Amino acid sequence: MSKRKKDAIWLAVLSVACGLVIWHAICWYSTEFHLEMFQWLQTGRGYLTVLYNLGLMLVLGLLLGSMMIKITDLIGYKVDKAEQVDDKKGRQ
Amino acid sequence: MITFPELPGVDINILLLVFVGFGAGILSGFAGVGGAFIVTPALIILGFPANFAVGTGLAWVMGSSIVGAFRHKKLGNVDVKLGLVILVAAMGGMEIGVRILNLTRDAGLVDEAVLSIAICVLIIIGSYTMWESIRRKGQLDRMLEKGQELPPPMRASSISQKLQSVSIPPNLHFTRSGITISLWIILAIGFFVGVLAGIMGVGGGFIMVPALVYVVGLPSFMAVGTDLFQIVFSAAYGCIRHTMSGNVIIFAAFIMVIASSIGVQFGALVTRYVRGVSVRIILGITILLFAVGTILKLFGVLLGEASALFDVASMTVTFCGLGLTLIMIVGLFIASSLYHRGRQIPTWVKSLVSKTT
Repeated sequence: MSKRKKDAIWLAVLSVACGLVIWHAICWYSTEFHLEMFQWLQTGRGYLTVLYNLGLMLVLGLLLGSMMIKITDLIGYKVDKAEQVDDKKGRQ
Repeated sequence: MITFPELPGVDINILLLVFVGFGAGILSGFAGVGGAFIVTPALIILGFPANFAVGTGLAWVMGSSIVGAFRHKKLGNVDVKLGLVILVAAMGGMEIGVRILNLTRDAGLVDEAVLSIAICVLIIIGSYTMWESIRRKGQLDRMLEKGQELPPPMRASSISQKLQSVSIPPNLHFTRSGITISLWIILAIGFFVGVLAGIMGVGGGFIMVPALVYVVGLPSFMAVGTDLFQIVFSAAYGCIRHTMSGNVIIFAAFIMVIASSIGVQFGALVTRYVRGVSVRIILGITILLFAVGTILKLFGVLLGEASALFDVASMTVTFCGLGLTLIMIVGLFIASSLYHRGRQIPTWVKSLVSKTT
């Protein structure tokens, strides 16, 4: 399987996962479940809210980060180490 | 307009929220700063109470930094080993900084103390960054005038040269960054920056990037990537603390992370088209603008009741600073693209764009 095909499959998988996360967040916002979780902070279940917030940001960051890389790979942008002459030689 | 149930009665313009996320994302990807120092005042302008602005801003920094760190990792700009060492020291320093902050709060001087320290730090870092960058740009301009192809090797700053020659065991070699330096020096820098960041209530990227460049001697882009990597963890810590205090509106942070993920890509990719000196100049300008905003805020605090005008002025300067930064980054990108296609660009811009992509 070519790298391009693999990238396309990965992008599709990541897009679906991203879509699911976004759909879930909008759902929980519109049903005010986020508010309910916010109110858990006053109770013993506050740690669930902390874990949820942390997890949501982590998962979203990872998914979006991976997705963006796959997109730039797919559209043909060659990502490699940037050679910055003035910086590179600056460490001599 | 959007209403968050956690903030009853406060309507937020969702387009502006997206713009703030997108703009801060570009700055984050380009200059390697977390962006909290821009996002927090912007959220206050949009109508968030200050405590929610800080908490939500930090949650956003975490998500956004992960996206940025991913991109910089792919570009080879992240020194994981160095980032982890700095992180350990910075976390310790932040805890001390928060405790100092609490002491000043108990003494009833928190606003004055924090703002005064912030102004001093910002002016020193911003001025030095600008001075060094402009001097460096002058050298590059002179080389171009003489028709020389490659710029002269940039010497590491005299501070970093001296520090790298200090041999206090254990000395660590960071292969990715290509430097060998004493562990204690890295820990001291991380700790010191952590203390300042803890006192000022920010992630500390705008202090850490210049410190890594000028004191440790890292190349600009390596400093940017490595700093973003360590910000992921320090922002996660801040996110936990602020969620526990009920200061995070997670859906607002969620919207901004999605917007900034696109901005971060653009900012990080622009770094391939510009020289390191451009990153430092734009970072220096942003820091100095933020210093002006902070000075206005301090006036507002000292004047007490008559502070409304200064508060508005402070917010305006900060918000306009973000706009100006974005214009400069986009302008550089366009100039670089034209240069690579063989089009003529002003001579003074040539020294800011890279010929190596």
